This record gives sequence, structure tokens and C-alpha cells, in this order.
Amino acid sequence: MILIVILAVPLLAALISCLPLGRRLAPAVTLTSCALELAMVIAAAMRVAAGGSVVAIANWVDIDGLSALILLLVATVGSTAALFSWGYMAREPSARRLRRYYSNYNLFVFAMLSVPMLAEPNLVWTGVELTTILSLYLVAFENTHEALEAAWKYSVLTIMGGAVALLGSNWRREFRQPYLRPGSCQSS
Amino acid sequence: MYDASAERDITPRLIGVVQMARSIGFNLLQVLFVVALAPLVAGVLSRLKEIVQSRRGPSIFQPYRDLRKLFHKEEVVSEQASWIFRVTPYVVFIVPIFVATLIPVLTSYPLFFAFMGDMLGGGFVLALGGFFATLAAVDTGNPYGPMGASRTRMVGFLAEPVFMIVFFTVSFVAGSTIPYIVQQHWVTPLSNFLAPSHVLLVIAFVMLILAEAGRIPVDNPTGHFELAMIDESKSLEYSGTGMALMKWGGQMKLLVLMCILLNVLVTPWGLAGGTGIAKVLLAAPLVLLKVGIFLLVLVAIESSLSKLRLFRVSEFLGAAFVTSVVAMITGLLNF
Amino acid sequence: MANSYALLTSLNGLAAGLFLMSSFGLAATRQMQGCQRFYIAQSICLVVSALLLGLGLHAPDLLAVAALDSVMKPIVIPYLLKRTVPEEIFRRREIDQVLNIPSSLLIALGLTLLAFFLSEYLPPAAGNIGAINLPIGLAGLLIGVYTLTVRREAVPQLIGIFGIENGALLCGFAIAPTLPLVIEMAFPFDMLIIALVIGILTRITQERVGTTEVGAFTTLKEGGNK
Repeated sequence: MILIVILAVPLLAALISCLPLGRRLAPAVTLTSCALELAMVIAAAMRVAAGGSVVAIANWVDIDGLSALILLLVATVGSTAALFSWGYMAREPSARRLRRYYSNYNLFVFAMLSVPMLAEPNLVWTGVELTTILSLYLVAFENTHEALEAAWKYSVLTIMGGAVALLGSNWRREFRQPYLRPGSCQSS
Repeated sequence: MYDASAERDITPRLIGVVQMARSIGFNLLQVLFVVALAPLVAGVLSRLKEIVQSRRGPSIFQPYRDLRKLFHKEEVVSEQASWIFRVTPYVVFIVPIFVATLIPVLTSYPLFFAFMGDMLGGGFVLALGGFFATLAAVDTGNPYGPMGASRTRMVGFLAEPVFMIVFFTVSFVAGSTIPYIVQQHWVTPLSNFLAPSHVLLVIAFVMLILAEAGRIPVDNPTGHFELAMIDESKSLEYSGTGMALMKWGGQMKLLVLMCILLNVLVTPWGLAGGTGIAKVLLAAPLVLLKVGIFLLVLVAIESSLSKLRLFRVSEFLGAAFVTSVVAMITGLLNF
Repeated sequence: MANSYALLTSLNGLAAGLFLMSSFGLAATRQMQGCQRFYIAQSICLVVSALLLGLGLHAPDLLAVAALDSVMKPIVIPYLLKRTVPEEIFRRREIDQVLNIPSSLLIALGLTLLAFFLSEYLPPAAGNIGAINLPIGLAGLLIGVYTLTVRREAVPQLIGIFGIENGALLCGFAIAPTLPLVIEMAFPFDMLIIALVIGILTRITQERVGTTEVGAFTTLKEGGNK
């Protein structure tokens, strides 16, 4: 259950950041949501470390040790990055772009958090591709030549890797050896 | 003492002689078919092209009239020409006749001369005609002859690997190198006909025909601009009988290539299966029908594409090569 | 019944062969429109193969996927590309690439042979009917990677990515025909979103930088700018 809440919080924050209610709402909402997630992720991780796993929907959304570690890393980096961007985004003249930045940021954090939680490898692939797509706007935010070049190279390289990984994501059923699915409680 | 057994021996030998005579007769009938109807096919092709371009076009029997006119004209030969120049028209005329005895034109079973050469031999014999034509174009002092000859050789050597790979794939898949036996492979089970190697071979072979017979997109057969001629340049210097034989030989080459494509690869049905003369004669209009349909396809291709620039011809033939290799891969690599 | 199975196997082989020819066309064509048309042809061959595999292996999931893909891939994605990418890019007739066309064709042929040898190590296809999908899907994937590397323009690189995806899907249909429908649905929609986003990125690049020749973007390098 806690996993669903972890996923729902950044989504909600993304929605609220879009509302045109001044310049301070979006950063504040983002920061609170990041803090909230960090707390929940730490709680879930401690529950996993105490033994057992946390299951939200069996076989679709659950975490184990490795997933908890990655979730912790993602939540920590997300929170610190949100804190840092509060500083330099305050200099952004256009309020509209500011709001768009923060809502996109929240969506990106949502996608990153969802990847370790999914238990079906094909959906993991979809999640990874989604993180690439949602972060493109952030990379190309400055709209300069270098930013666009960086965005292009980043997107093409990552999506190409993802497309090749599509081939591999279909194979897990067919190999006889057990394959540890990220987020699965046991190897089957 | 009168020996009755000697009498019994004659009958099977007589039957054998009759069968052999019939086989030779059908072979000659086949050759006559190709020789007599090649100008008609060329006439129908040019008429169809003109109709597609909303013009009336010449009569379909016009090539016959052209040939008759040319045979009555006086021949003018350059002083610089050697014996090659004089011999070439006869070579170019006879070469398709040889190949016509080797391929299935009217019958679906091998005839008398069928085992004289296989597909590889037929291909080399056709190349012999091209070789002599190229040499003859260089033989006179005409500056445009060698230019066209070198271009023809370029197209020839680029088309050579395609031909080789098509031939090898067909032989491997069908288990033989004689065209008559190869043709049987695609007649009966429909799944053989729809196999990927078959369709890709047909595509590669059609591209090969376009290159070898000098059709658009490789060359413009109706162009008069000597600087751009590839295949037409071989008959630039000829007049009178020589010109007639070169023209007729070129038309027969196109018909022979079409017969190979249609009777072996595309529509191996409709050929005479039995030994009656009536069946063989009935096969002739069916073959003409198949050739007619292919002419429609050819006209569609020629009218919708434009002539490629010379250095793009290598890309075109590279695509044909790749098609034939993919046909070979999908047909031969079993996994 | 065996007869129709053999017929379906042959037809599937035909679809796979034409898929491979479209991949070659992707790698070797000179025009922007040609690139797009070969991609549409490749997608249609993919859909036909999925249909035939669904009929032959009695997998209704594959039939549903074929129906969905037949709308998405040949129709929706090219339409999206046409709408998001600026019009003048599509009229270009000479796409810049690092190697010339006959070399590209020969390298693509070499990659196909490599794919045929590598497909030995892939998991086996479900049933004889899909056996040819594996090497040809892998070949489509490798040719897509090659196209992506060699082209200098933005839109052909994107179409190369879609080619990789088509190849991987062709393999996947043969290996796992009974994948749950929910998961199979995710792929075309993902491709849709990628088309949309990269199309918009291309438009922004065209507006800002003035050209979409992404092969010439070399300011970001290791060791910092000069």
C-alpha cells in the first residue's frame, strides 16, 4: 500500500505544480512531495531490511532488497536536486516555464521511482523508456545549441539501447535458468 | 532358318527413332517460335508504351517491315573494320537461338537438345553475344562506339554476380541445373511457390532483365542521343543486313530472357505436358499471353521510372545483388 | 491441416523476406520520403507476420496485437511525424550519410549473415512456423542500429530507432506468442510517445539551430569545449 502512495505523491505534485497560482507554489509543492517520498521510502526500506518484502499488488508491484536500495538512492538524489533547483530556478524570468519545469520534474521522479517497483520485465522496459522521454524536456530546458545537442544525443543513445533491450525483455520465460526479476520476492 | 526374334527387335527401335524425331521436331518448333515472334513482342511493347503516353504509336507489325526493309538495303562497312565487325551480326543472331533450344518455351519436359547445356551454359552463351557486340563497337573508328561499349561492360560486370547467385540459388532449391527440371519444382506445392526465396529471386531476375536488355531505368531504348547510349551503341555502325540481324538478335534476346523468367520462375504452368503436336501448338498462345501480361508490367515499370544517372546504375544493380543474396540466405540456411 | 500449416509457414517466410528487403531499403535509400515509405512497408510486413503467427499458433493475443499495430504503425506514427516535424525537412532528396549506398548495402548484407549465425543462440521459436522470424528480426535490429549510426540527419535516425523496434518485435512474436495482452499493448503506445516527443525536439532544433543535421553537432566533447 505504501508503494502506491509513494507513486501517487509525485503525480499529485506534478498536477498541482501546473496550476497558475503564482511563482512560489510549484517549488514548495515539489519540495514537500520530495520530503514526503523520502520519508516513506526510508520507512519501506526499513521494513524490507527487517525481513520480508513489501507487496502492493502481487506479481506486479513489489520491492525487495535491491529495489529498496535503488529507491533510497533515487529518493535522496531527487530531494537534493529539488532543493538545489529551488535556488537557481528562482532566477527564471518566465513563470510559465518555471511551472512546467517543476511539473516535468515531478513526473520524472515518478517514472524513476516506478522502475524498481515493477515486477514484470516488459513493464520495467516501458518504465525506463518513460524516464528517458520525461527527462528530455529537462535536458533541453535552456533551449541553447548545446542543450539541444545534448538532448538529441541523450535521447537517441538511450532509446536505441532501449530498443535493443526490447529484444531481451521477451526472453525471460524461455530460459530455464531462474531469472531474478527486479522487485520479485523470490526467484522462480 | 527364319529367325522370328530379329523381327521383334525392330519395333522398339522404330518407336525410339519416332520419339527422337518428335523431340527434335518440337525443339525446332520452339526455335521457330522464338525467331518468328520476337519482332512481334518488340512491336507490342513499343505500341503499349506509346499508348500509355497517350499517343497512337506504330503498328505492332512494324518491326517486321523494318527488318524486311533493312534486308533489302545495301551494306556500308567502314574501312577500319576487321573480320570481327562482319562476323558479329551473325553471332548476335545465332546466340539467342542456341539458348532457345535449352530453355522451356513450349513444353514442360526436356527436349532433345535440353541436356546440351544448363542454365550456366545458357548464360555464358548469351554473354558471348554481348562480348562480340562490344568488340565490334570498338572495331570501327566511331568515337561513340567505345564509349557505349565500356558502359555496357560496366553494366555487364555488375550484373554478373546477380546472375550467378540467382542461378546458384535456383539450382540448390530445385535440385538441378537444367531449366526443364528446375521448373517442375515450383509447379505443384503452392508453399514452394510462395517461399520467400522464390519471390525475391523473381524480383532480382526482373531487375537483371531490365539491366541486360537495356530498359529504363538502366538505359533508354528509344533514345537517339549517342552520348547517353548504353545498349543501343552496339548497332550504331551497322547498316543493311548487319543492322537487321543485330536488331533481330536484340529482340530475340529479350524474348528469351522473358521466357526464362516466365516459364521457369513466375508462371511455370500452361506448358504442354503431353507429346501430342496439338498440345504443343496450344501452348504457344498461352505463352504469348504470359509474355503479354509481363509486357504490361514492363511498360508500367518503364513509364513510372526515369533513367538513372550512370553512377546510380551501380546502386541499382547493388540492390539487385542484395536481393538475390537474401533470396539465397532465406532459401538455403535451414535452422 | 498440415497443408495449410505449410502454406502459412511459406507466407510467413514471404512476409519475413519482404521485411528484410524493407530494412535494406531503410539503410540504403537516399530520400527522406523513401525512408518513411520503407518504414511503412516494414511495419505492414510485421503486422502480416503477426497475423499469420496468430493463425498458425492459435494465439488470439497475437491477432489483437496485429490489429492494434496495423493502425498504429503504418498510419498513426507517420502521421504524427508529418505533423510534428517541419514540412521542409520531408522534401529533402539527398540524405547525408557517412558511407555511400553500395557500401551500406554490402554492410547490411554482412549484418544479415551475422544475424543468421547469431540466431542459433537465441531461445527457440514456438513452433516451426515462426522459425524464420528470429534471424530476420535480429537482422532488422542490426540494420536499424547501422542506419542510426550512419545517417547524419535527425528524422532518418528516428526511423532507424523504429526499425530496431520492429526487428525486436518480430523476434518477440515468434519467441513469446502468448505474452499477456496488457504488456503487448504497452509497446506501440510507447513508440507513439517517442515519435511525438522526438518530433517536437526536432522541430525545436530546426527553429533554434536552423538545421537538423545532427551529425554535425560536435561542440559537446570529452575534455570540455575549446
